[in-house]
Order: sequence, then structure tokens, then C-alpha cells
Amino acid sequence: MALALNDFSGAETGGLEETSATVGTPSAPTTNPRSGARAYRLAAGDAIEFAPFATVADAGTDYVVGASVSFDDVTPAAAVPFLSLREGAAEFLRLELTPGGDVRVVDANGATIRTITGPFTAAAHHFVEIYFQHSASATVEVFIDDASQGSDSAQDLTDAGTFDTVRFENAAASAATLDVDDYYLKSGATAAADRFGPVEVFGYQAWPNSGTDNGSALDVGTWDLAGETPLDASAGHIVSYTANNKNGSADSDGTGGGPSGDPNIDGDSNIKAAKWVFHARRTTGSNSAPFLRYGDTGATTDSGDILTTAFADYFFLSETTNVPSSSQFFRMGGGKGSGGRDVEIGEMWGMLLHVPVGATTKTLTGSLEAALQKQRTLTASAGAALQSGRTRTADANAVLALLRTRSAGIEAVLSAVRGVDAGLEAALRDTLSRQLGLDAALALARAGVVNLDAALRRLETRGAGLDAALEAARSAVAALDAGFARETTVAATLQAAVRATVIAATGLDASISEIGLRTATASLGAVLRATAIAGAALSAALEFARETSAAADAALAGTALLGAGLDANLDLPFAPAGTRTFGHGEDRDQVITAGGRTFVVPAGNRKH
Amino acid sequence: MPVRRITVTESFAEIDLGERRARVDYATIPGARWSRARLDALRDALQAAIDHRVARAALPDGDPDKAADPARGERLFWDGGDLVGRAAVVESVAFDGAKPVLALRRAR
Repeated sequence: MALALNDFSGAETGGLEETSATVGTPSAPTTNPRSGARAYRLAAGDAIEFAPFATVADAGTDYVVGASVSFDDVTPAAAVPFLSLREGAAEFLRLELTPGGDVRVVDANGATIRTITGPFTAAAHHFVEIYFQHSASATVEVFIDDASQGSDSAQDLTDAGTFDTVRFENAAASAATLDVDDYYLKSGATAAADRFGPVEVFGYQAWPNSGTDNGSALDVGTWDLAGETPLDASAGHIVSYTANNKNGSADSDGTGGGPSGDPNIDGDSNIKAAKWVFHARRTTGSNSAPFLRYGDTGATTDSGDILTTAFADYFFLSETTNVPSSSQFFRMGGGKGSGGRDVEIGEMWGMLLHVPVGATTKTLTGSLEAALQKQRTLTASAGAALQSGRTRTADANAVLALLRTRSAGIEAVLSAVRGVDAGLEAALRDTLSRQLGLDAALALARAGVVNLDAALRRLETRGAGLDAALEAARSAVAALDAGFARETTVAATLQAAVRATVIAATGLDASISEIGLRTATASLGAVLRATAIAGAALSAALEFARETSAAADAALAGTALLGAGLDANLDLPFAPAGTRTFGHGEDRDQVITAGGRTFVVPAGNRKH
Repeated sequence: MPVRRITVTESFAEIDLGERRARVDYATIPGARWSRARLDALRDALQAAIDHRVARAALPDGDPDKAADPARGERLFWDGGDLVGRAAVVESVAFDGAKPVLALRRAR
């Protein structure tokens, strides 16, 4: 169902008329109102209840309840369960002020949902609102002074009954006094945003312009005396319609009336609802279909036949119909048809629910008004544009015909383009086929590169072997060189010995001829010793020459072996041209150490 | 609830109904201590003071309520030979150690 305002009250009757039940001696003094002239006051043990759906039907869960509360002691001696939502006597949601000054939110089972730390100050009104769902798995969010205190979900907020009571109470053990003002309740909400925020309730009850000023004459009574103080019927201060087919009303336009002229009302959009309250009855007699009349100075509505013989209070509430604007007054009265039952009205009150303009609202209102003005300007421009548009429509039709003619040409071009498109598609398919061939060739080339890499690695390994063989060959050649040098030395020694022998023989010949036999014999002995020495030297030289010859033979055999290896290496495949570009091998000299010697192989001598 | 004000003292209880006041002096209730029975008696006395009771025989001829019980819940009904109009119900009367405590509600 749609969002509905079901009830509101600000104690502006000055009594307990708007409550549905009381405990103890609650009152409605002028001591500490938040708005209007009065607030409910609850001493220790007092309670007041409201039946929120007695006048406007329940639109169903979700709900918003709001009220202002003021404690003169925010750390009471005992916990004060000050707001209780009920199904008859069964409580399903409660707010209570703890002795420590916190506010505890309690579910249907008495379990604490949330504790709000120290939100209240003493003797000051704080506006409390609760957005909640009436269910076993409910969401509940408490606002204090328009600020959220946190949202809780999946809470048990039902005793499986019908929500019908909003109760404010003060604990019997508490010494604190609780004032309650500006209560309201909404049903059919869908979100916390449906709450009003801190509201105000104003009451109007000054009806000086009674009698002939408004509609039909009020036959009896003095409306001027229908003041806030309860009047005594026995004193005749009851407005009564006693004649047949009489009816009438009076306006709340006396001193202190309103809402017109009330400085508290700051704009029509901030008036949220009106409530009309009658304290009335009918007399006995034949049925005259007595009724009550309520509305504003623009229009009124007549109730049905609802009166009984005892004075009772009758309530009418509306958010829209006949709600007085800021320039109107409440209009209330009654009447009867033909019959014995007269209408007697003891008191009438007009109540207004008002949301004061906040800074944000004011800003939004200004923006909306500016937007509205802009919208009006745009509307005028749109009207002119519409006329211009109609004129241009004819031109547009001509253009349309031309466009249709050209459309045929475009279609022909389009057909040609479609032919070209087919050719392009064939070319594309051919390109794709070639692309596939290129891909295959590329794959093959990649495989060849892999094979070349492997061959290169084998060549590098074998090149290292060739380098080692070459070094060994060089070592053998060096050994041969050394052997030849020694043989040369031995030959020189042998030649010297021969020359010495020749010289000795020459001397022997001379001695034989010149010195005599002994001398010759001595010389011969010397020659023989020299010859023996030379022979020994010759033998040694010959032995060394043999050794050298053997070494040379061995070196020659090694060289022959290396030559065979070299020949074998020379059979290796040469790297294809361009292979070196893969980074294997470098054109630089190679240093080889073998047999304690170091050889440098020039780059030009290496095979790759 | 057609009640403007409730006053409870150590000697009387009074309910201001606007056009009149329903008052009961404790001295009119038998007993000296606030027993359950005496509290119930006070409750009944206050309810009687609230009710608007008219003998059916005294109703004008032609009044539909003279011939038939209007049966409008607690608000208008026949009670014996009377037509009773009741705007508020005294739900209970308790005793808090010093004085009676009244619980009232609107007639349904």
C-alpha cells in the first residue's frame, strides 16, 4: 500500500484527548514544549498510548515512528523504557534510557539490538525516529536529532500479532520526568528516507467568528467561549444545533488562530497534514443524521452519523484533502437533518503537522523554483519551436521526396559496392591461403635453423680437437728442432776431434823427424790420449745422436698420427655461408697451453 | 480518549471529561485499606461516573435506541434498562503504596 500518515499529536489540546490510553496521571502542561504550546508530561510510573490506526488505516510494514523526548535526568536511577511499540500488550520493539545514560534498542524477545551511547542531554528535547519492519526478520534503524544511529537487520520485531499501539512511558522506579512532544507515525514506508525528520505540531483553537460569519447560523451557543479551557455543558457553553436542517461552522481566525498568520508556518510545502479534533455528542430523539463538519476556509467535508450520547472525541486526519494552506484557516462545525437528535460540540481543535524548513530544504526549494522558472521559459521556447517546426515540416517533406529519389541512386551504388565487396572477399580468401603457405615455410625454415645450430655446435667441438692436435704437432716439431741442434753440436765436436787428430799426426810426423824417438813416443802417447778422449767424445756424441734420432722418430710418428687426425678433420663439412651470423665462433686469435708451453693460433689458421 | 486531565490524591480521584468531571471520594468506597476488592470498587465507581446513562423508558418516542439496542461496541449499548454512552473505560486500578493508580483507555 501507499505510504500513509496514520497519526500525529503534539498535546495541543491541552489534555489527554488524543491518547488512546493512560496509566497514572500524565498531563499536557505548557512547561516544556518542543513546538506549539504544550507537551505531554510523564511522571514516574505514568504512560500514554496512541492507537495510530484508529483514524487512518494501517498501510502495512514498513513503519516510521517519531517523537521528541526530554528527560530532566538522563542518568535515571532505574532504566526508563520510554518508547514501546506493541501488539496489544505484547511489546515487540522498545527504546529505553539506561542508568548510564545510553539508549538501548530492544527486540521482541527482550534482547538488545543496539546500544546508543549517551545521546541525550538533560532537560532538552531530542527527536527520536525509528524506521522499522514489523516482522521476525526485520530491519530497524534509529535516528536521533535527524542522525542515524546505525541500521540493524534480521531482528525479531514481532510477537505474531497486530501492531496497534505506540506507548510512551516512564518507569515507576525512575525519579526522572519525561516530556513527549511531536509524535507521528507512518505506515507503508519502503525506506528510512520516508521519515519526515523532526516535525512540529501546532494547534489552533480560536474560533471568534462564530455564528453568522460562516455559512448557516449556529443557532445556540457562543463560539467565542470555545476556548482551550474545557467548558461546562451545564453552563450552556456548548455549541448546539437544535433546529432541523441546521448546520454551520466557524473558522480558527481569532487571536492566536491559524495557520494563516502563524509565523511558525514557513511555506505550504512544509504543511504535511491536518488533524481535526471534536469533543462532541448528540442528544436523544428521532434520528436527524447529525454530523461533524471539517476542512479549511476553502472547502469542508461532513462526517457520517458517528455521534453517541456521551461526549467523546472524534478525529479526522488528512494529508491532502481540505488541509489549510498557510493563507487559510481551519473551518469546523456540524449540523443535523430533520429529527430530534441535536448536535452538541464542546470543543474543537485544528492541528497542523509541519516540517520546518532546513537549510537543505531551503536550498532545494530555491533550486526548484529556479528550475521551474527555467522550465517555463523553456516551455515558451518549445512552443515557438513547435510552430517553427510545423513550418519546416513542409520543407522537410520536399526534402524527403528528393531523398527518396536519391535513395534509388544510392541503392545502385550500393549494389556495385556489394560486387566489389565480393571480389575483396575472394582476394581475402586467396591471401589467407597464401598466408597459410608462408606459415608452413616459416615453420620449415625454423626447423632448418635448429639443425644448423646443432651442426655448428658439433663443428665447434671438433675445432677444439683440431686445435689440440695442431699444438701437439708443434710440440713434436720443436722437439725435432732440439734434436737437430744437439746433433749439430756433436758433429762440431767430432770435427774438432778429427782436426786435433790431424794436428797431432802432423806433429807426430814432425817429432819423428825432428825430435827423436822418445820425444816422438811421448807425443805419440799424448796423441793417443787425445785420440782416446776424442773417441770417447765421439762415442758419447754418437749415443746422443742415437737418442735424438729415436726421439725424432717418435716425434715423426706422433706427427704422422696428428696428420692423420688432421686429415680426418679436414673431411668435416664446412659451415654454410652465413652460418656465423648465428653467433657461433669469433674471428680472434686462440691461445693454447700444452706441455708447459703456450701457442697462439691466429684466427686465419682456424677452421670453423 | 475524552479525558483532559486525571487527578489522583490520597483522598479522591477525578477524571476531567471536558464538559464535566467524574470524581470519586475514597471515603465513599467501603473499606479502610486498599485491598483488591476495594480497588475494584473504586474502578467501578469511576466507570459509573464516566458513563452517560439514560433510562430507556425516558428516551423520547421515536428514538431508535429506545426500541433496539444500538450495540455500538463499548461506546453505546443497552445495560439493563438503560442506554449507556461510554467514551472511556477504566481498565484497572492499582495501588502504588501511596495512592491508587488509574489505567484508562478509549472506548472501542
